[in-house]
Amino acid sequence: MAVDQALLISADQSGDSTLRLYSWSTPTLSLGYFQSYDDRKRHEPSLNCAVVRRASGGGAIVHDREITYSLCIPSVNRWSTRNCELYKLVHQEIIAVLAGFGIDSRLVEKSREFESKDGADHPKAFLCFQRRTPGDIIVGKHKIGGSAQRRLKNSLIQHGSILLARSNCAPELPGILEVSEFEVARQEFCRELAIRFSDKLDFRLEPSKLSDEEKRLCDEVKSAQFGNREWTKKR
Amino acid sequence: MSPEELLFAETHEWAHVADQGGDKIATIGLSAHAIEALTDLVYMELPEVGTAVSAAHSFGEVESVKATSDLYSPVDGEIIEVNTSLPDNLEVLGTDPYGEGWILKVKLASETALENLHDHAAYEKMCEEG
Repeated sequence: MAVDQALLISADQSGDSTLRLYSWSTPTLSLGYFQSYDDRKRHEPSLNCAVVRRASGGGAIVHDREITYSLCIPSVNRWSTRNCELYKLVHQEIIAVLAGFGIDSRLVEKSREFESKDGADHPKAFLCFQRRTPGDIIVGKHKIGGSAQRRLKNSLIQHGSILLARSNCAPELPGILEVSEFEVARQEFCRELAIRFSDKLDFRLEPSKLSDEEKRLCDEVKSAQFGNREWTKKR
Repeated sequence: MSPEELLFAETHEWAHVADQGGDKIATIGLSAHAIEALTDLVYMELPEVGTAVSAAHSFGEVESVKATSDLYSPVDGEIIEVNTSLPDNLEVLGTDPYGEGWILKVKLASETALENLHDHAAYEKMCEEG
C-alpha cells in the first residue's frame, strides 16, 4: 500500500502514469479506509493475517490467492478526471483478458442484484467481495474482481483485486478456479492485462523498478501511515 | 444560493463570503460537478468547530461507492460552524449542493486565498476542458 501511495505522489510529480501488478508475500487483510479496525474481529478466518489499512474505501480484502493491480494517473493525464469511465474501462479489459482464458465474466449492472436474506452479498458486508455494486466483476453470481479509487487533489489511483482461487483466510469466497474450473496463469494474465491497459488507455509501457526517490517516498508514507500501527487502528 | 454568486477552487469546493458582525465569513461546500463525478456518496468525515483550516489543505474526507477523496479548504481561517446533519443526509449534496448541502462556515483569517478561486463561468470552463 505504501508503494502504491508513493507511486501516486511520484506520478503527479513526474507526469508519468504507473501500472503495478503484484501479489502479497503473506496473506494480508486490507481494511477499507473508513472501516473500523475492531470490525476485523467479526471475520475469524482472517484473524491471523497481517493487516493494513488502505487509502481507498470499501470493504476489507483478503490478499492471498489473488492478483492486485494499481494504476496511478497524474493530474496532467486526461484519465485523472474521468474516474467513472476509467473504472468501467479497466474492469472491461479485465473481463476481456479473462475471456481469453475461456472464463465468462461480466459487470454487475445494478445495485443489490444478488442480495440474499442471510446478510451475505450485503452492501455493508465486512468483506469487499461479499458486496455487490454496479461495475463489479462477477462470474455467475460470484464477485471475482473489485476496485476502488483514491483522489489526491487532482491525481488518481485506482487499485483492485482479482480473486484467482479460494483462500483459507476467506473460505466463504470462491475464486475463479472454483467458479469456472479454470486455473489462471498469473504471469500470462498480468502480461495480457498490461498490454490491454496500454492499448485502451493510450499508454506506452516501460518496465521499471522503484526509483531512489520513490523508495524514499515509500519509506516516508510507510512510517506515517501504512506501516504505522496507530494509523492502522485510527478507526 | 446560485452558483454565479460563488467562488470555486480547482479542487471543486465552493465558497461564499459575507460580512457578519464585522467578520468575513465563508460558507463552504462541494460543487455539483464534483458530487456528480463522485457518484453515490456513502460517508463523510468532517472536522470540529474551532479547527483551523488552510487554503488547499484537507479538512475532511468523503467516500462514495467507488472512490475516496479529500475535501480541501478554499480559504484560511477558523471553523465556526459545521453542517453536522450532512453526513446522515448525504443525498442533500446532490439535491441542493449550493444551499442545504453547505459543509462548513469559516471565519476568515485573511482574504489572500480568495484570489486563487474562480468565478462560476471560469470554473465551468475548467471542468469542460477536464
